Amino acid sequence: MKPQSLYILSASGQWDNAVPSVRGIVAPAQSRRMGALLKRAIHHSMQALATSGIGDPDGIITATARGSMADTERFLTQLHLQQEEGLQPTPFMHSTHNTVSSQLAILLGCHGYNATWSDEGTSLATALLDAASLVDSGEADTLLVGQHDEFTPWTRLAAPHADADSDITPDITLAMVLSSRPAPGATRILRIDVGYGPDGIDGMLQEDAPSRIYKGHDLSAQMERYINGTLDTDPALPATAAFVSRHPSGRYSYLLLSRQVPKPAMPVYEVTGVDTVNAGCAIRLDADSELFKVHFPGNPILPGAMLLQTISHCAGLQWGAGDVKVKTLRFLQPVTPAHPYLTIAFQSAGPHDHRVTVSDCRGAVVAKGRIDTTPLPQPCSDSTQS
Amino acid sequence: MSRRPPIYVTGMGIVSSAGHDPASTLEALMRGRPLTAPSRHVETRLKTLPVGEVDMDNATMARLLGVESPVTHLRTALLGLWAARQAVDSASDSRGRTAFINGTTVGGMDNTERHFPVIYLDSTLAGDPRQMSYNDCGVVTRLIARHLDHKPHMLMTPSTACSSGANAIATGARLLQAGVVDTVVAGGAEALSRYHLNGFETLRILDRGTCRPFAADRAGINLGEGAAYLVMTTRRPSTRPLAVLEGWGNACDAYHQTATSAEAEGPVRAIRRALDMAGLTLDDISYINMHGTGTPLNDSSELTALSRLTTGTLPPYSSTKMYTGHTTSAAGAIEAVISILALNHDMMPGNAGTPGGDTQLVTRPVTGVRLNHVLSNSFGFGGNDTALVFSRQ
Repeated sequence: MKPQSLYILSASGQWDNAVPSVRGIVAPAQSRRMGALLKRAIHHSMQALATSGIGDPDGIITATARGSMADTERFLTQLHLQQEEGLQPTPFMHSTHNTVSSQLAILLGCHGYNATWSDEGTSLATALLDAASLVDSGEADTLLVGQHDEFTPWTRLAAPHADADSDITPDITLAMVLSSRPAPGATRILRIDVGYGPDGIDGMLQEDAPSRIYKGHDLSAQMERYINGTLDTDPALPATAAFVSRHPSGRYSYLLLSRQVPKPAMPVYEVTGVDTVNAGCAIRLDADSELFKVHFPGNPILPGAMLLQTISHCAGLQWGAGDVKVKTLRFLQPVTPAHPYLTIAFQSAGPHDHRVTVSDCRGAVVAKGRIDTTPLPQPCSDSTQS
Repeated sequence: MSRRPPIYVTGMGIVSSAGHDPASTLEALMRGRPLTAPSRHVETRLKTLPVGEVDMDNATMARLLGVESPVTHLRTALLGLWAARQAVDSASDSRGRTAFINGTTVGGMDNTERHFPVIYLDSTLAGDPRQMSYNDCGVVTRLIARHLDHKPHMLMTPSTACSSGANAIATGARLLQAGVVDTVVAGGAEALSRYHLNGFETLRILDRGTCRPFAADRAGINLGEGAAYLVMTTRRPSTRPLAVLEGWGNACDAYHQTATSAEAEGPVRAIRRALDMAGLTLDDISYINMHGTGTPLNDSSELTALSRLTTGTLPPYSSTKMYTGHTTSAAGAIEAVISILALNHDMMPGNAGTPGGDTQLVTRPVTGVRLNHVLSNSFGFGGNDTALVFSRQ
């Protein structure tokens, strides 16, 4: 389908099994019961929401090809070893596929639409199709959509022997905030097609003539980098990118995205000073910028993505652009052009590891985070065809 | 927004402990005797608990359906294929681009739990490790689709626990209205497994005897298994459709992973959304097929939800879970079929085994009452709550 008006405002994810902290988001007593999958989902969902500036989405849609495998294995192991005696309820309760969607809803107090899709390699595309039809029907304007999967020891053991039709899903954590309304830097979803059997992908590619085509079984990581503008550094891009997955099972998915770059003609900030000795920058927001007229009318707020970009920019002035990665960023207060002067200060916390603090002209800390300045290795080639 | 095209139900199929097709299911509902009994097919220590089990082993079912491995190992897929074929065969009209939307949560677990100890815990690979790749819910959907005569063009697998079947139907309707597909086969399938029997047992919500939803001394759930699907389209069929799906609503209780809140915020929102879409109030509803699992908490919060939606008396209501067991992910679809049977036969199933107290609780099957609109509720773990409104056409 071709959604009438659907944008991805932000994306946050990881593709390994590291367990981020959820301290400050969930109570320690709850956090102890949560598996790694759930912690990753919560961390990146909160990250994506903060960046989008949307705290209360109308609904939550989760894709999971395999579900909560670690809890499933835990309950299966107990079931076998204890011969159905004295079993603990928590692994069972957390093993249903809708656990992530449900826990996010509880955390956000979100009573709106809530769904979970489990469709092997096309799970994420299915969730996006659900989101698109929901927004088109007028049932929701903003949605938290993600894919959360874990690659457990059992999966590892079974993978080499899997049925030839199977998709073996790796560790995937991807959270995105979707909206029916555009925002500067948002990625528009132009087309979604999910199917089974003979596909019409070649025809769609011909019709859409995307500037880049990415092919593979799991393209979630490329999607995240495309949305965040780090997938392709070609300045002519981004125009449109197609993400094509054809699976041995006969399932396929096609996504056409278009990243809307904020026009340089409407600068939002200027760097008024750089202090390379104490590692910091002074910033002035342009209160007359077009951006503040649309984000949001009558209530100007600097989009989280823009603050992220500003920090990357300033850190790049210190350590060289391209070698800077904002690892975490907590938004503590909205940044508004009513207080246009910002200070971005970096403080060393280890080799290539720096704390970043953003304060406004009243001295209030508006955001805090960590950046990584490890020089990047030479970029390796993607499964990119153009 | 432009007017939404109506959603016609043109075919249906159902397999549960209450019957192997719509006709035998109707008969069982008319007879009104509880049908749950101890399991014969699940290897479990919980053998004495009554369940709603389909009285046929996998090999017999596979022979009946004329299918071969790997689908024969997966009871969820066998049950699903049986009901899906009935639905497609009975549909007067199923042309064009088709989506098969199959809600499940157990998925291939009945197969996985047989192979897991050998493959994983003994790590000898003495078993058949390939079996592990049939665990995912989406695999079950694909294996059912592979054996349907008309191959679906799109597969979707909602997994929202006990509302999966209802969400499959609601999503199907939304995709039809969006013009994504021309025909939808939507519902759910779930087999009994040692895994979820024991899981529900850890939550201490299984009744030792036959479940008694809405009874003052109710003591929990009887689990069940089965599958059911509806065939839906927006094209007016040449013959009279079975029903029209006039409204659907999905909301989240956002309260607890397994329990419903006392104030029933999720159920209230789901039911209100479905009624609003249908342009109806609760007072317009002729009969409610309740989620009514038989747990003290669910049944009281479901009644709270309904009383929050009307100032008058509730419409007549009953649960049918003493006939089918609580078929978890299939329940929303099985009860959608039961709701349509009620509409088509002017019949309200009785909430058997429960002494009357509330005058609106239908305790024995009632026939000869004209039903115009039937509400079907499905609430799941995770606070995933969905309501459907079916109307006479």
